[in-house]
Amino acid sequence: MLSLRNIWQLCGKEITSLLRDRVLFIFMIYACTLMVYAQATGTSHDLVRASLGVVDEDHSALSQRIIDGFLPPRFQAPVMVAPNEVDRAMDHARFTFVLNIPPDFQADVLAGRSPEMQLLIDATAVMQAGIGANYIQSIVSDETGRFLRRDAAASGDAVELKLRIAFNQTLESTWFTGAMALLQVINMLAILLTGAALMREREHGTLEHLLVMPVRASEIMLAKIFANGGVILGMSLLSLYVVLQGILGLRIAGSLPLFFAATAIYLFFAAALGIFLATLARSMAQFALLFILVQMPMYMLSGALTPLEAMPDWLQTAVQLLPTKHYVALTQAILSRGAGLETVWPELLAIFAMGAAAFAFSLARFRNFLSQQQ
Amino acid sequence: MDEAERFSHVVMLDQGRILASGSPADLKAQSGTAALEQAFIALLPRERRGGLDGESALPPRQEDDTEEVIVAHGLTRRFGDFTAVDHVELDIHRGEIFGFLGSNGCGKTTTMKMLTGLLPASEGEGFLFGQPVSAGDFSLRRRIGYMAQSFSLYGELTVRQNLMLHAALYGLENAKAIERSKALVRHFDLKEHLDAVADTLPMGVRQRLSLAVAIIHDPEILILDEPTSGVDPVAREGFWRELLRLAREQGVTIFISTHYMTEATRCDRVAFMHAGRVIATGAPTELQAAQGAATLEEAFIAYMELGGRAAEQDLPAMTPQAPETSAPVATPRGWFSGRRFRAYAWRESIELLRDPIRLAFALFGTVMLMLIFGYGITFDVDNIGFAALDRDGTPESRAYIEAYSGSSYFQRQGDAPDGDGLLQRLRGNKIALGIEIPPGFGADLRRGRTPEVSVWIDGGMPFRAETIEGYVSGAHNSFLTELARQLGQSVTQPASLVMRYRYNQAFRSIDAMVPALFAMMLMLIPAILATLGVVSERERGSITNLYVTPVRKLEFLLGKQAPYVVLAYVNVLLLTVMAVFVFGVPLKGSLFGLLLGGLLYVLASTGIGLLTSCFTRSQVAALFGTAVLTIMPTVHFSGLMQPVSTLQGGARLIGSVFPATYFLRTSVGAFTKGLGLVDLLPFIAATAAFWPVFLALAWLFLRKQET
Repeated sequence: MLSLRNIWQLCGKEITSLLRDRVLFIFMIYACTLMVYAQATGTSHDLVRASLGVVDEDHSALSQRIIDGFLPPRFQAPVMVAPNEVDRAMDHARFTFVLNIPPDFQADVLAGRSPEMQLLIDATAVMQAGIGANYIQSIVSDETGRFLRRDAAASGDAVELKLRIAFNQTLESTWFTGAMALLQVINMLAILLTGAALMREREHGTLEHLLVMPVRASEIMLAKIFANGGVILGMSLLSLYVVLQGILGLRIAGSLPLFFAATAIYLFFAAALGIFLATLARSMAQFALLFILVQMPMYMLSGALTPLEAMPDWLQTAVQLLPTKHYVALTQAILSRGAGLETVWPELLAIFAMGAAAFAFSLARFRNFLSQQQ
Repeated sequence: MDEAERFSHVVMLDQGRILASGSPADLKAQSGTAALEQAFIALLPRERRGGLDGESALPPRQEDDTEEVIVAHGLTRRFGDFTAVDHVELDIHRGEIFGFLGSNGCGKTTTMKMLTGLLPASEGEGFLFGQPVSAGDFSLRRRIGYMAQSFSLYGELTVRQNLMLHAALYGLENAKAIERSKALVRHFDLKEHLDAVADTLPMGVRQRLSLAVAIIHDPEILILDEPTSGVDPVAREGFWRELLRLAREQGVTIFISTHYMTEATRCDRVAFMHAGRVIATGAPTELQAAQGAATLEEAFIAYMELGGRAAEQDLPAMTPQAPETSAPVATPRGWFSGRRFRAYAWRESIELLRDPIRLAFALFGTVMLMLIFGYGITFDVDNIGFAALDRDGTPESRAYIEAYSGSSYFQRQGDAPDGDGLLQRLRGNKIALGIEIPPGFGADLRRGRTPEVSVWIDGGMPFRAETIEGYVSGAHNSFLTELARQLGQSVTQPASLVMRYRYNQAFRSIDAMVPALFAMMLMLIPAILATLGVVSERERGSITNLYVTPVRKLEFLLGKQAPYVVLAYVNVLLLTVMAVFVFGVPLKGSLFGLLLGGLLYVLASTGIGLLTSCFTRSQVAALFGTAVLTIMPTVHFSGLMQPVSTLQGGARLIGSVFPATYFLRTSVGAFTKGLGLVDLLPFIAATAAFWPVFLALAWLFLRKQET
């Protein structure tokens, strides 16, 4: 039988000591507000503000028309560069793309000689290089076509392609990057705070003290999970409702309370994982490294940053075991596809099951953990 | 005090004032006491004695109570090959004060832990109140009080909170808890400290609080593991009087371990423990008499020699440390001493080397992460699942779908029965692309009436959606081109765009990502490694070494950083070898530039860890601070994912003042862009600027004295 009174008492103690560490508290607020804000507004997962340099050796109406075709938000205003500056500028990553319009380009187009333009792409900027090249290609051919027809009538293609982006019509990436930033913050916080709280109790000898009292190991662990998870849940509330919805004014397709509930379940997992990692480590220093080694792949391979389809097969299978992968999937489903509980329950269940497993493992290791002295 | 007995001359100080000075014998004679400790108390001015006047003689114990409440039979504990406790036999009677005497590391603590159920015994058994000790027995736990070696109070809680928490955890009802706390506060004189945070209390007060907490539930047995170490004589005397009162007036059985001989003589009975074995048990006077020894200490040594061991081996085991580890006594002049720097660096290295698991995590962890990320972080989107809803079913519509399924980017995942089904499958993330061909597609096409194909792309992940969009228009155009060719139309474009992927002609993600990952790996792991260095000493209290030794802050900081820089540099070399030989990324540019940039970069990254370590108060805060300060800027704002030139606002700002941005350009430049040393120099110089800044900030934050 678990004693709720014990859990309640221990939770109070956890929260008191957590909030007493002011530097930590400031870091937490910073991560949940400014960091999420900077990431949501400053970075993007689609092509925005691509940097383009243009070498215009034609100086014609057509070349000007093409240059004017590169508009925000996808492109920054194109910068004119001299031919001999191109290499240096690209070496220094000033531009991801450099478009070279050759001399007599307009004349050749009008004469039907089908001239060639060159687009230099910095292929080390993997994320933007491919999609940016596509956009540039279509801008160039649209502008050339319009120039020839002198009007912007129908394309004249035999089949009209009607492209629709389902669920996220404007490809609004702010919500997505914001939600992913929040995921990373709570993932770090939950694993670290809960795990380190346990490590610290062992280092300070207070854990032993608890265990000679009529208190169960499971009560200690649950109190840590609830207390730290609760504080972090409060922080994510701040992040979601104040930063993302309030300040940035973002609207989502699905239900925010559902997303919030999913976050709470995820927090249970992350906190349980923190406890588990702490029972594996012999010292705070080991725990710190273990944290990095586990946390980073969980985030980087979750599908939040890179498309899962691109991974090798073995890794795609392996990431099924990452709760972050399921959390990202359900975030996309709720935020942009408007999915409800009937769609995302398998993910929720998977996350909860992994949390329960981590909890069970930690419980099994607990006595062993206690007897390990530094 | 035991040690002081051996000195030829002793000076007793209280509140910065000399109380007395002379040989131990003189001092004892002067105060008319038998031991130096009592002499000290006797020589104190009356108001400083805390009401501890005169000799606290041990009131005789009623010998009629022989109920055995703590019993050990053949209690043994092994850790691997090492036997910490070897067949210990104990029987402690109700109301007895039983002392447990032995050097550090002889097994006292382990024995006590087994008797409280904290540690399972490897062999043998312990009994409390005649019942075998079991970890799960709560009724037994309610009858025991325990005080561990370290003051195991919650340092962040106040005195009141500590008392109330323990009362509640022992299951005391609220009213009872308040009543007991009040009584204990009065009794242990804690009133003025009630709302003070435990960490800020003087040692003596903390000790009183620890005892108060241990007896809040009126236990019948009190197990105390070296409760008085580090406490001044007055507080110790008060503590002992309280123990005597508990034992004599309330019949509490007290099992106390100590390495102070003066304390041992005050027990009813003692057990000498040595190297895991109990070598003698009995009343102090009996043991002395049996060996014909003048003092208990001599008796202890005599028993130890009887145990057949040479005296040298029996000295308490010191932790093996090289002599350089303690700060040199001589004070070299000048603002920076290489010797003191080396001493600190040496000590930190020893700590690192003693923890092979941590070392292995740092090295193999880097290798492992590199493997996972090198293959896992890729932007080559292909095998996109799609479903078609063909409402036409003519050769033309099939040809249109064929344009997609023929491309290696797409993979057909069956068909949808209707529009809803298509959306349902998109929503469930079964497919990322849905194609709907309207009825009459083929007929319209033949008659030259532009039909309209609808395509849905999953916009959940913007990057993927845009990439798919590009592929879709590619597939669509290839259908159109093929159609035009069949109709014999000209397909020449008015102008063409030749794309040249520079630096990475094949546009392989791996060639660009692997060098970029250098910046991430060499930031996160070194920063986390270095971040506990200073703050852990502060949390343990050993930072006082810095306050008392003439080590200058800069020497201390550099000494703390040096081992991690070396370790991180091994990672630079490891990663370089992996990039070339495992991932097959050619190193086209300057190796020297890469290695030089790498050195400056790990100086900066360990520097961030060190800096966080200096301005945080707890290890948790340092860890989280370093994680927040490094992970997000490295992953998002340094050009790893998205070129820095396309960031905006705060992200752009953070990106341009973060070292990863510049080292990323160095490593990508050296590997993929094929830049020579001269071209790399601007990035290397920018990276170099960070270390001095971080070091200077750390220097400012590291206060030489406690405030």
